[in-house]
Amino acid sequence: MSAADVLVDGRSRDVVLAVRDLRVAFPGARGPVEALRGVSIHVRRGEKVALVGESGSGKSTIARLVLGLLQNEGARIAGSVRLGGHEILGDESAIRVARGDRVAMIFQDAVSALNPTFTIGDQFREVLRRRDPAISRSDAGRRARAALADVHLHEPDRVLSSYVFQLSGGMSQRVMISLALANDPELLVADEPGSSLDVTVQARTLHLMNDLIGRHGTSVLFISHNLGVVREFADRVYVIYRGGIVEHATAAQLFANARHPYTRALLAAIPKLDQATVPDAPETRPDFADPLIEHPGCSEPHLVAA
Amino acid sequence: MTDPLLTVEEVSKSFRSAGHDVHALSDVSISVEPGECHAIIGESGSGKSTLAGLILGLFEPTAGLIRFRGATVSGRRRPLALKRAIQLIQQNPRSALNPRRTVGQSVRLPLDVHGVGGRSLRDQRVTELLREVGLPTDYVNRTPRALSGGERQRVAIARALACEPELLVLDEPTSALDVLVQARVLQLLTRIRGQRGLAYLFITHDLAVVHGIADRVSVFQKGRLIETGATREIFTSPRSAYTRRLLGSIPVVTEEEARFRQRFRASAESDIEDADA
Amino acid sequence: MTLVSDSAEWRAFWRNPSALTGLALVALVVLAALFADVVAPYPGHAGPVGDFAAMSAGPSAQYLLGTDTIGRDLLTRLIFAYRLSLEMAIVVLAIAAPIGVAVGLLGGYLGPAWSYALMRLTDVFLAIPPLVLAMSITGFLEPSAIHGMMAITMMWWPWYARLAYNLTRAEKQEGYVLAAETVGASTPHILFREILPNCMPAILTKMTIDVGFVILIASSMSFLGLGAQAPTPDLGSMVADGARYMPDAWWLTVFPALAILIVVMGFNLLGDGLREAADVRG
Repeated sequence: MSAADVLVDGRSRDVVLAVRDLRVAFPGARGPVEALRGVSIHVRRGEKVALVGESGSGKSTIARLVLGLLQNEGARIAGSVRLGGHEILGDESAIRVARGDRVAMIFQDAVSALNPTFTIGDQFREVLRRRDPAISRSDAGRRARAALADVHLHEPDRVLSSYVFQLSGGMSQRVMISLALANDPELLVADEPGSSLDVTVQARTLHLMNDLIGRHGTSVLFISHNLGVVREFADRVYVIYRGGIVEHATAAQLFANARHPYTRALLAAIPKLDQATVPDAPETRPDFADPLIEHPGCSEPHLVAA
Repeated sequence: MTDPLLTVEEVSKSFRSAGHDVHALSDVSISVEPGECHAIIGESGSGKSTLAGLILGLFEPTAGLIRFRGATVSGRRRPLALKRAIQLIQQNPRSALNPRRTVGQSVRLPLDVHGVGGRSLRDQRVTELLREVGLPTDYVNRTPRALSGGERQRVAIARALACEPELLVLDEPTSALDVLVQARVLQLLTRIRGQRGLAYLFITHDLAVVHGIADRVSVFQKGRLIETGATREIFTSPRSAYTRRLLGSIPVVTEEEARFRQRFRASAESDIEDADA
Repeated sequence: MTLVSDSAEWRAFWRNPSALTGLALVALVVLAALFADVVAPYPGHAGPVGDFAAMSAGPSAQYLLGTDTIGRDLLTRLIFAYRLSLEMAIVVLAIAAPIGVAVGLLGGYLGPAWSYALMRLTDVFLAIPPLVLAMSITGFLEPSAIHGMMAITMMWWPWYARLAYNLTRAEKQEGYVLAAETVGASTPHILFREILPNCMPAILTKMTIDVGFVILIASSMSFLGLGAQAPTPDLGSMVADGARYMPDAWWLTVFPALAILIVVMGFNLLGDGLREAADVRG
């Protein structure tokens, strides 16, 4: 399924995640600090959408909000976040029900994201029970072994009886991915996937993740600061700067022809593998905050006239 | 042909961990010429941090020796003059500055330690150094908490330069920084090296960065030196399969890079189906 | 050197009701002790002579908390007892904390041999039951406030050694310590000018909470007759002396005990408030 199909068939493709005009402000030393200033993004079924930005852009805030993991009392939140058609903003129980089941998350660092006091097998059982509370131990074991085989971990029994710290970085990343996909969620949110891994291991892991996602038909929202990874794995890209989306394009459009000054500065600043020069280092300019540029075919569904 | 500034000669280093030996480095030999930028490429477990530790004198080699300006150097009992000559820029700028000392105090530390001039001379040097690294001079009284990652890294660089070093060991100096900030710091490092004629031992996993700044490259894997050579050679005709695999795995953003990388992709792809050990 | 340089931490402190309660109690005790001569209604009763016309009198308008068996105003004696307690606590902590912190700093930073030696020494002192140690010391030397303080100091410093050791071990991992080493800073500089300032918030918080506990231990010792001797007004001795007259002259025991409660709780709450405020940053 290519990006083109999504666009032409726009209206009939299910929207799995729809964020509309999301505003988030955190209490700060000198008054509220706006983390998100009216962000709208969407992910359709089977799509891989990337959210790219630097630190402090608000990208992680969105990821955590979608999973109800935002831990900040006093945060002021406005707007709409609909997961599979259901509004989850402000609805604690809706988020809790969805989490682990219809939406799952994988994190930057598997070793700190997985529970160190439970074996991998225990964690699989816990995850599988979210979908099927009455699942038997043997069924859970069978499905866990199948999930591990999917991520090319060929000694499933050893892995299932291990603790996280006994596995290598790459293995624990794969375990995290297979746990996340164990209940076949509609949406996978990936926060800087693989960025704590070596380049060769990261390449392998992301390729594997890509395969699995393709087979399951999972939609993905992935957060990254690494444009190279985005170029390889995303269908569509949002560039976020200081709490606002500044550019929205398909991956092909963005990398062939980025139009927003901030995106262009980012791309220029990345060291190029084929060049023996130090990259451009543009200073922060006022036009970084220029309004959103949407490439042809890229707009939010709620804004497209029916 | 000048003598090398630093030579690492058949150095091995092993640590004892949980009852068995970990061989962090095995029989490694490299050199750094005065004023050159020598990049060390390695992933985790490659021994690159151990190499940095040995050169900085944090510990002694298990075998082999290290020479600076021709003289053998040892570990922890180094003369002050030698400590000045080899300085470190760390990966994590947040941790590298003492949160309870102001920017001025941190940058002045080497000057205090080495007894450079009187109070007003040191303050003046601090101001000059801040200017050299592109920070406003009124930052002198700020604490690290008020600074961004890029700014903290600049303070760390100013502190290292206060020693008037000859060799800077840079251990992933830009890996923890955002893209735009990384570019600015790389530009700064290039400018400083040019102006001061410093030698850099630039340790990183990022081959794209290396292509832009290094004169020579050494590739490490699992504690061994896999290959070494001029940057151009390594990037046009790398000899080892490991280097080819590294070059083929890097995510790229432009078409030109993708074409460049394609030559090495076969090596990378053959690995993708392997399971972890 | 600022203890708390960021306003976020102070704001957290001022918003914390139990911390403010602690501060109020501590302020009450400290001010009373500082200005004892002025605040106490019958300063003369701090010594051996009281009002023989009102011996063992219950609380009244004239003697707010009652009088003891020789007619001395209880409120006055409590205020002076607070003064003695605070003086003891300050002296004990002013000696125990620096010794303990120095041992912990060295143990945490120096090589494994030093670390082992220093921390085992610490363990030895920690292993001795405090009151047994106190009794041994005051057994050799006659019981007095000074000897009581010596005993408490000897049992107290290891806790600071432990704290400083753990803090130093953590700070040693930080990049700025490595930077100071590579720049050529001397070990004393690294210990006292780089690492110690980062340990101060935790150490000062502990010292605050410890004031209450030192007073408690000192009171326990003088309850057993091992601390200050008559006629010096001392919280623990007053509880002990009054215990014989329960339940008739209940005020003789109850008020000194409450006084101990107030001072211990006050410093505890204040110290906890400081600790919570310091954690806000983390």
